[in-house]
Amino acid sequence: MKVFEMASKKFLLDNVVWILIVIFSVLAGFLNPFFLSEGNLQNVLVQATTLGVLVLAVSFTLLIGEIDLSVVGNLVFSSMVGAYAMQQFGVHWMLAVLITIVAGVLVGLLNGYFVAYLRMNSLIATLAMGLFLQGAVLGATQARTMVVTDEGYSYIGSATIGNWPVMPLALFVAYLLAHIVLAYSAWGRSLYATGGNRRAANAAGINVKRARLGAFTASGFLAGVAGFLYTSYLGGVSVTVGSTTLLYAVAAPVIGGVSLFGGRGRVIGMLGGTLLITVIQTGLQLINVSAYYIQMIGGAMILLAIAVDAFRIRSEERGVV
Amino acid sequence: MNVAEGTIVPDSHAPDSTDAVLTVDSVFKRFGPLAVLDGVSLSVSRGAIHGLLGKNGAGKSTLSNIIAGLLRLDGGIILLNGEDVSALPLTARKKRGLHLLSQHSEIFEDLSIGENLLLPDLPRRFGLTDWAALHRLAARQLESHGMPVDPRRRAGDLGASDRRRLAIIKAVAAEASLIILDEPTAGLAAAERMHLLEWVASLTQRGTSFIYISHHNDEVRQLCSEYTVLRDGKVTASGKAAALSADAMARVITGADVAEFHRSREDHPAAIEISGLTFPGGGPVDLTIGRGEIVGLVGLLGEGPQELMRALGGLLPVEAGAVLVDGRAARLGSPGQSLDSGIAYLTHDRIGEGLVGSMSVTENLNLGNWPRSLGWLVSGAGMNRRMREARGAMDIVMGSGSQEIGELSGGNQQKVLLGRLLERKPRLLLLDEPTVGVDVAAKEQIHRLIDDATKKGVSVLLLAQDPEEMQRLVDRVMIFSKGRIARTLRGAEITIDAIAEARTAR
Repeated sequence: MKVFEMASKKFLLDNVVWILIVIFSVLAGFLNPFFLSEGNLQNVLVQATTLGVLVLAVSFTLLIGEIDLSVVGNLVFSSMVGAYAMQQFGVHWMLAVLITIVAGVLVGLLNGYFVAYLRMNSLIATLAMGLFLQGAVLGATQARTMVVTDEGYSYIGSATIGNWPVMPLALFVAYLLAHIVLAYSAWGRSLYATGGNRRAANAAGINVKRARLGAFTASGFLAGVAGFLYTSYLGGVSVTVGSTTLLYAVAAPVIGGVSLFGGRGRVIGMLGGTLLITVIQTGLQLINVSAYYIQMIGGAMILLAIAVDAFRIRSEERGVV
Repeated sequence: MNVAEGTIVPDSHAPDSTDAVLTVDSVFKRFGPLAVLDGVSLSVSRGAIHGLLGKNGAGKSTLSNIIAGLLRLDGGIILLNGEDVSALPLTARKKRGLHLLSQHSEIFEDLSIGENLLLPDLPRRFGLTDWAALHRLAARQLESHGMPVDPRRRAGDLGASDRRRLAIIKAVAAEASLIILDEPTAGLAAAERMHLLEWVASLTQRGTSFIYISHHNDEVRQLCSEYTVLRDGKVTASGKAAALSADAMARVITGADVAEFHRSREDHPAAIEISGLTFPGGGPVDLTIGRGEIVGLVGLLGEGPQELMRALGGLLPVEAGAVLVDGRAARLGSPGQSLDSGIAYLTHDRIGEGLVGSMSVTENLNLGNWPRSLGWLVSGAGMNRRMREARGAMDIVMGSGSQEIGELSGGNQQKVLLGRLLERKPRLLLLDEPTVGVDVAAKEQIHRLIDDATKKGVSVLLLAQDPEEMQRLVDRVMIFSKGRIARTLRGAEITIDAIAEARTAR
């Protein structure tokens, strides 16, 4: 029986994020029945899409024991580059999407080069990169929103199929692909190995530098994708994405069980973290909590989730300092 | 007292318990089904240096960890100055004057010598560290224990021998009544060894007692007034050291009739040719290794053998020279390239450099060499098949392949690591302490696995601190000095004594 108890306790702790989502949804639905409606579910999933892709971006770097804080700056930068190409050179929207993503990849490559080859500290290097990019965008646009009118570019962010928005499809496709890559590809396993023990991964014949460069490049790629999705959804480049977005993009993977020290974390957990944060935000809006308190309650919920995670780690490593 | 067959007990009268600092009575310790200590008793007289002897895996480290309070005992009793400390934790035993100094003396390299000596009780004034008093106090302690160095110097700048002195002074200054020294002279040159030993002997005049663990029988006969020999977790001999001849001592340690396997030594056609290899810390090295031959490398720490291995394994850069593997030039530069060239390095640092603790046993076995499907996906079926094969072939004791690697014993972890390398079908296997932290049974199995690999034509370079392990396995011994091969031992020249001698002489 003890084995069963331990297994069920582990199951509960591993899935605490989903339990919190259910508890919060029931509470919010009790206070405002609209929260549990189909329309709001659509709303939550649409809101979760951009954040979710950013969460994946950060997670790729967390898995190797590093962090990418430039994802929001990269999102704004790459979407500006794509929008600029359309406005100034009139490129086809498909090419513009490609340009947006390539811009993101280039930023990621640069970050990866800094961290993997020049051995710069990722926390500071990507923080600086994010500041640089966001500042560059603000300077270049003079903080004016760049409107994107191309219907092809904004299709995915606005189209519906039989009453359901298309946007969340991108979220699920991204998570499915990420799951396949991280759980089943040799490259994905080498990221986990590198994050778990870099010296051992190296000694086992894994090209650790290339794996680390790859993680940041993937992060840049996903930030570019997020840039495209966000611009497509808004119908323009918002040059002032809030700094809270970055904090949520870092908090969500950790809430979902991704270790800040590398080597541990499941894609399903990253999705759970994203959805929990989105559910809290939209739920509090629907029950008419003031925007300032939303931030406060959001902070408290994240603290709670991390406390539960720490409890899980303590119960696994009992006796170790 | 539990006494095994073929033992010598010269002093039959029980030691007087009033003049004993430490009395260990019938201590049992089990790791899983294996009894590592099977009713061990010993007693250390006040002011004595008590030699604790035995082969690797005999239970010396386990016993010293139990005495110090790092491990819990499964049966028996430990009396320190007449008080039962069996249930007390490490810190409480330390307060009562019992200190264990392990092979890796714990010093804080970036702190000063004075801080190292006085931590955690630095002298304070107004709640802040009183540096003047600290240095005064530290200088006085160092001086009075015959180590006149400036306490303001960085502790990391001390040599290996002085680091050990520092750790010992720290314990003595804390009014230790018993200090356990685990291989304090490992890796030291002969002259430094002698100095350290004489110095330790001088400390007993202040009433401090020592338990002295060593592979060097001569050291023990020279230094110790009494001794205990462990073999397979049992006491096989004990008494006054002076009463025992060198031969008799060697006999009780090894056990006369232990069935051990012996390699058949034959001529080996050349397979690996190393020419002019230069690397950080050594070279140029020229060495030809035969097919299926095991060549032992002997030398002091930092004298080259380990660096040679790490350079061949791709973990240190190669500055010049070439390596031919079966006539083909090997590319060295990263572990991946070395592995692709047929050269595999088994690390001495299993936890730090071998295994990924967050991954499963199966993943660790397949790490960096995943069976593929569709070219880029990892084949789960392929991984599990290799796991089954390795488990059968190497007798890996485990629950399931999906459990975390940290849950396995050291010996089984080592087999997983070795299995990962053998899966690469290497032509040259570099074994850096292949049985470090492994129990006796697993050690025997690993030796057989190494021998089996050589029968299939794999050449081996071996580095082992234990001269006995070396003597048992190797066909030839290369003695390093200052980064180069200075001497070769062949055939009958390969004796335990010759290897032990070569390791410490410069």
